Amino acid sequence: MSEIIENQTAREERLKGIVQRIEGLPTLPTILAQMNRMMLDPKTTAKDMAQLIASDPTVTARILKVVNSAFYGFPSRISTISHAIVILGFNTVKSIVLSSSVFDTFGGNGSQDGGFKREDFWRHSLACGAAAKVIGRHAGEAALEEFFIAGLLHDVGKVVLDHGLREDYAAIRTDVKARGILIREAEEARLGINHADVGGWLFSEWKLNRGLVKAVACHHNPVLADEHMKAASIVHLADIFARALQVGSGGDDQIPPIRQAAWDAVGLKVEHMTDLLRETELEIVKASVFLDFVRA
Amino acid sequence: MDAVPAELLPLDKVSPGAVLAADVKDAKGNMLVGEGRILTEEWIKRLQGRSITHVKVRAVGDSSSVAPSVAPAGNDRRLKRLEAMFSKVAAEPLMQALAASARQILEERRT
Repeated sequence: MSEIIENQTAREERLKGIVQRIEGLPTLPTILAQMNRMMLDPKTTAKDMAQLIASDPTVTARILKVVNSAFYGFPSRISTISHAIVILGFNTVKSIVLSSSVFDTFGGNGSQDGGFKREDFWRHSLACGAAAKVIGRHAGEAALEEFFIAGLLHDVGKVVLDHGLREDYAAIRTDVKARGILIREAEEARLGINHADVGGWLFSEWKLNRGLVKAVACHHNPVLADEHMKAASIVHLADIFARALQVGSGGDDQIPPIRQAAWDAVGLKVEHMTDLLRETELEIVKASVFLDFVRA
Repeated sequence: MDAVPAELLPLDKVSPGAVLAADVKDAKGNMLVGEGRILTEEWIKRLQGRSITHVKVRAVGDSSSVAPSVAPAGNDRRLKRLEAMFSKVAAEPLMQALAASARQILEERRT
C-alpha cells in the first residue's frame, strides 16, 4: 500500500510537469463558470439560469436538440430553456453544456495534421457513455445521465494530449501501431502518466464535481477513486464494453482486461453480459444526437 | 451526420429498432410520438392502436446511425478483429465471457 501511495505522489509530480508543457491549455468555458457561480447562489431561479443560457444561441439550440431527442424520449416537444431546466434539473442541463463546450474545444478538425481520427474517437466516447448509462441502470444507480456524461468524456485527456503535445502524441500513436499495445501503455512508456490522469486534472481545474473528476481520472484503475470507486468502475467497464462492440476507436486495437475489483464493485452478473451489450447498442442510437455537436 | 432519405413505410412492415424520422400525429393533429424515437415492439403496437398506418423511419444501422454496420462482409471482418483484440486477455475468465457475448451478437446479426 505504501508503495502505491509513493507511486501516486511521484505520478502527480510527473503529471504537473506534463501539463506545464502543454501549450494552449483550455480554460473553463465562460458559460460553465457563470453557471457554477449561479448554482452556488441560493437565490438563483430557473429563470435566471434560463436567461444566461438563452444568451448563447449555440448552447440553447443544442440543449433543445438533446432534450427533444430519443435520448430522453419525452412525448411532447420542449421549446424553451426554462421548460428544459424544470424537466431535467440544473445539473443535467449543466452536463449538456459541459459536453457541448468540450466538443467545441476539441471537436472535429484535429485529424488534419495526422492526429487520430476524431470521428472514430467520439464514436467510441459515445458508445462508452451509452454503456455507462446501461451499466448504471443494471447496478441500480439513479443519476444515469451523470454516468453517460462521465463515459462520453472519459477520454478527454487523449485530445488534450493530442492538441497540446503533438510530437509526443504522434510518437505514441506510432508506438501503438508498431508494437500492438494499448494507447495507455504507450503513453505510460513515453510520458510516465496516461490520458486518464490528464483528463482528471483538466476537469479538476475546471472545478467540475468530484465524482466526474474521479470517474475520468480513475477509469483505468478504479480502486484509486476512493469513495467514487463505483462510478469509476462503471466507466472502466463501459470503456471495455464499448471496445468489445467495436464502435468507433479508442486509438488502439487491443482491449484492456476488466479489473476484478471494478467488476465486484459494480455487482453485474456474467450471465447478463450479452443483454448489457444489446442494450448498449440501442442506447448508442438514442444518444447519437450528441455526435451532431461535433459535426455542427 | 449525413442526411439519409427517410422512408415512409406501412407500420406493419416496420421492425423494432427503427428510428422515427418525423413526428407521428393522429388524424386530429395531436402529437403521439416525436422524431428520433426508437420504435420498440410496444410502440408499434401502441401506434397501431391509434389507427396509424404509415410512419417515416430510418433504419438502425444505416449510415445515419452510429450502430455498427449490419453488412455480412463487415461482420466477418469484425469477428476477425474481435479475436485479435482479445488475444492478449484470453486467459481471463471475465474477458472470455465478454468475448463470447460480443461474438454472439455478431453471429446473431449474420442470420
